[in-house]
Amino acid sequence: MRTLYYFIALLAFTSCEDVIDLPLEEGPKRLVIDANINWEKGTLGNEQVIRLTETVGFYEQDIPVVSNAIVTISDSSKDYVFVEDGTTGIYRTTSFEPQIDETYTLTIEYNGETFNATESLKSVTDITSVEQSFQNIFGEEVIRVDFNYTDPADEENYYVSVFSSDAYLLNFTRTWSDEFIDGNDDSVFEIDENFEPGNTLTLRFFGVSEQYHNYTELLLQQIESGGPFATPPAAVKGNCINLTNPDSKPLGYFRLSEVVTTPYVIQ
Amino acid sequence: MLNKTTSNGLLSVPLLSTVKQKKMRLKKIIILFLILFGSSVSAQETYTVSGVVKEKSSGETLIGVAIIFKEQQKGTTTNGYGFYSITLPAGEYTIDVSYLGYKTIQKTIRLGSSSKHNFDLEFSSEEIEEVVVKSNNNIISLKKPEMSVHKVAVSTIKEMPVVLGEVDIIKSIQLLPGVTSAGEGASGFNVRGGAEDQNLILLDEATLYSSSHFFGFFSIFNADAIKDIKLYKGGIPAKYGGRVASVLDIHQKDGNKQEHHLTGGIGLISSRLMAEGPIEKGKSSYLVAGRGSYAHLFLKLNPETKSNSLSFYDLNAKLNFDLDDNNHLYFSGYFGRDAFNIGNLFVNSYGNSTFNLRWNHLYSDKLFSNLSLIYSEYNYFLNLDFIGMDWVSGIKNFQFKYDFKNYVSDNFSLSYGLGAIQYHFNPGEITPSKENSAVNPGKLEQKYAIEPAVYIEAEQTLNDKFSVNYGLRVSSFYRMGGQNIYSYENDEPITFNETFGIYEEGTVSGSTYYKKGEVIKDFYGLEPRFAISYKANASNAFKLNYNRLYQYIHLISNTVSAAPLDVWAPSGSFIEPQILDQYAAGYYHNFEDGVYSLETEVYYKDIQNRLDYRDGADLIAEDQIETIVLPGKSRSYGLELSLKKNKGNFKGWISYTLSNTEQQVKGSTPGATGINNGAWYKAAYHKLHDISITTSYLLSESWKFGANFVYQSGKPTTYPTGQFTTNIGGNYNDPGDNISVPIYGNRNQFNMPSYHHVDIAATFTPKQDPKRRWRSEWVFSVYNLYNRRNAASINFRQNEETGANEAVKTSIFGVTPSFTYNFKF
Repeated sequence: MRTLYYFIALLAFTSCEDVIDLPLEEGPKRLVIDANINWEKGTLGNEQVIRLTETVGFYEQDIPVVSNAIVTISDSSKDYVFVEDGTTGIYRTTSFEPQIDETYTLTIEYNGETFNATESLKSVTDITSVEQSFQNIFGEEVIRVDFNYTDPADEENYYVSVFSSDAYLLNFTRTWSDEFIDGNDDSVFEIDENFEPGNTLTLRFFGVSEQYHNYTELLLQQIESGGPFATPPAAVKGNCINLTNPDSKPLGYFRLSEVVTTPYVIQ
Repeated sequence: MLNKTTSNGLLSVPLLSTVKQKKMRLKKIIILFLILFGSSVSAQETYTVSGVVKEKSSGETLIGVAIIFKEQQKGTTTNGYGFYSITLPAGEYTIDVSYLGYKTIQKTIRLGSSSKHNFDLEFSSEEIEEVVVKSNNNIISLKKPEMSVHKVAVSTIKEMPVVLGEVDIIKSIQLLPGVTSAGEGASGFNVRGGAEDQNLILLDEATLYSSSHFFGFFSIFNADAIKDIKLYKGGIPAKYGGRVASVLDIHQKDGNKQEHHLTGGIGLISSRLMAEGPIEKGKSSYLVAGRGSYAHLFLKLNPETKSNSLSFYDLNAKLNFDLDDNNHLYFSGYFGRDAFNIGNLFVNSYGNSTFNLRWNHLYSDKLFSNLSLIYSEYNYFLNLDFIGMDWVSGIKNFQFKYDFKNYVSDNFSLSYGLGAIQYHFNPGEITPSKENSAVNPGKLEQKYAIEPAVYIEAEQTLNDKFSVNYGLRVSSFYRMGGQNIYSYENDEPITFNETFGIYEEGTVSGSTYYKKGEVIKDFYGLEPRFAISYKANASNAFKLNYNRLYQYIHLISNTVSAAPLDVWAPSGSFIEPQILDQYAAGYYHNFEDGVYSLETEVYYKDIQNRLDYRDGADLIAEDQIETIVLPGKSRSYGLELSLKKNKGNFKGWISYTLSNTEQQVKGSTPGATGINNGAWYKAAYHKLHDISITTSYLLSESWKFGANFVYQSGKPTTYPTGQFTTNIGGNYNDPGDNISVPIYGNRNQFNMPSYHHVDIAATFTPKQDPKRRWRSEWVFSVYNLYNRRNAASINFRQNEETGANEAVKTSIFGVTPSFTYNFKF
């Protein structure tokens, strides 16, 4: 909504956007735990990946990876050990056993500190169908693709969607709750003026917890902030804690979701 | 006088010392009382001179006209309805009636009975006149304890160069010391570090909830229909309450009682037309003015933007009846709207409407009263076609005010009155807008409240040098039922999650339904107002004031500048009223016989219960405001200086304000961090330096020039101190799958680049044929002459093509020329 107001302001006047050279101060380095456990519906979900990196200056292109950490996930019965792929900071396992609504605890030991996070694995409903249509935007007919689903009634559901396409570089992520649409038929849609027949468009549809929904909403506000109506920026804080030094909180989130991946080719 | 009271036999009994002491004390009290209140009680008879001052050709009442008794160095001014009253001992007096822009009338009267003297003033642009008016005004202004207030003439505002040629009252008051805005794209204005919702904006006594069109680009006031503008930054009289930072009191014209006229203008962005005239000549009049933009028509020219429209319009209306010498009736109305339609995907419209009826009644030539009955509304409508949703929200209120002013004597007057406002808040109502919409209908809890108040205030001249105003406003607020109120576990609507280190919504433990008419919570406020002035000599004065104000309704906004969707929330079970204490002191000096005047003021204010939203607050459709805001404090202090040149072909003023405005929100439960870890942080509208220079130069009868310069320190903002990456899908080898997220530190720790621009205007008035009624002028202006790309905001994002992080500045107005053609018929 705010981006729309921003757009109006841009549209109405001789305004412009300029990329500027703005020197920024750098804060202290922190550990970033990017633990996204995705259980693709219909598969075993035994192969999972966690990446550990460090924070870095805003303009830097290279992200420093964190090697030689010990990464484990535990559930009520088992421990799953993640092994680093060389020195890439990417830790893998092939023995994970995902279960809907099971509670998992992530433990990381690095540099003499221990980090911890707890979450449960959320289910997601199916994508029932995909429809393509045209939407009139500013006089042009733009391709719109709707991925339909039915929100489960009488339960609180939170969703994240990620669209990726060969028509553009950066993925488009959204998050929402079923507050206004509980039990209804709804769709996740994507519209882009660059879409052409033959382009691929893939939707990854995640079921998430309320906490993760709030986290992602805030995170997306930080990257989509635009114009004078932007929500003022804030620190995005995840569910990971530093047991050794509670004041030095790691960034990132430990999330477990069921995912439905739906590829589509634009007609 | 003393002799009368000391004719007291007990003084001659020396033995009974305690009794004597008691009597001495009583005597002293009586003497003190008489000095304070009895200075006007004298053996002589006094009579009242009263009347109405109007403008001769139109019959328009004039506000703030000085009625001076020069030899006695006393005087008074006309009130908001052109009425004045002054009581003096019998005798012969020379009265000067002066008002800037008009010929001074001098009249000698012999006061032997109470009499009515009405005056009709004629226009004048002569210099000599200006000096007389100024020096007369000074007799009053230096003496009155009134301070921290500005009266701006509409004629001055019309000559100022502005963006796109639109005369803008709100932009003009931002050139005054202590008044700024939060930047381009920010609506409203900020007074002495006050927030936008802390300004009481009155149009003919009716409250308006927003003062701008188009996010602050234009004001909602059509200057043609406006008669008088007064801005109180402090020293707010007891008759005003409800907002803590300022009062912008605007009066519309009544309408020409003698002849029909058409006034208007054609500009680049909008045009205006006003019709006024008598209904019954000399006794009643009407005024109707409209203004509308047509930028959306230009959009139709470009095929890409064809199916969009952005427009605003206002309508002002007034009917005015002089029933007889003692009774006047006014009906005023205002309707304004902003409307956007973006490809039928996003349809938005919002604005204020007000209707009010006022009745002036003179109970005697010393007792003036005004009864106002007001209806005011702000509403907001949005349709999002993507989602198939209609959204409506707003605030409605009914209000009555009964104000009295008793002009007891030439040294003492008493104002008192009462009033009440009844509110209905609609925080939002959602309906599906089409058949296959996924949206369920919903209505957020409607809120109701009543805000009654009474006040009394005395204005007293103690002697030649000291004058004092003192008063008390007693306000109250009743949050009424007709809704559910939630209760929370541990009484905490917001909890602090120590694991995450963030604030979250509290857990609802139940809800209570309060019936309509039931009081949910009540609040009371005692608001003392006090001001004193010391007139050292004819050209120097010192003043001090203190006031306390309560504000019971709050504008909840988490954008840097209030967006039209932001919601007004009333105090209640979880939200306390804001309480302000303001102290100010000032020194005023006129020199070179009134050609120059210098005003300096220092102020300090602090506010309790100022709300700020917590990090991550989502305000849209928020039924439980108490779960997203945290109470804190705010404080502001500053020094204001202004130097004015009042006479000559070259006139203008320079104002400079040095100030600091900050907020603090501490954690209220153990372990909670508050905002910024409980440390003071700069408010979004803090401006360390604010310099405004406005000048006008009269070259000849045909050409007039104006130039403004504005400089403001950059707005406080939050910059990233680093970044981290996340990949939701887990395809770490796909660069497009990685999201780079900026990491932010403390709120408002850094400053944006400074904001400054120079604007110029030239007004050309072609030779008018005195026989023809048509008058016209051309105004050419250039806003932002040196094309400085002032940053409206700086945002951080990944470049869409390269994925690299960059800082992007959005600026709105570069060099913008425009012209307007104004006419009067």
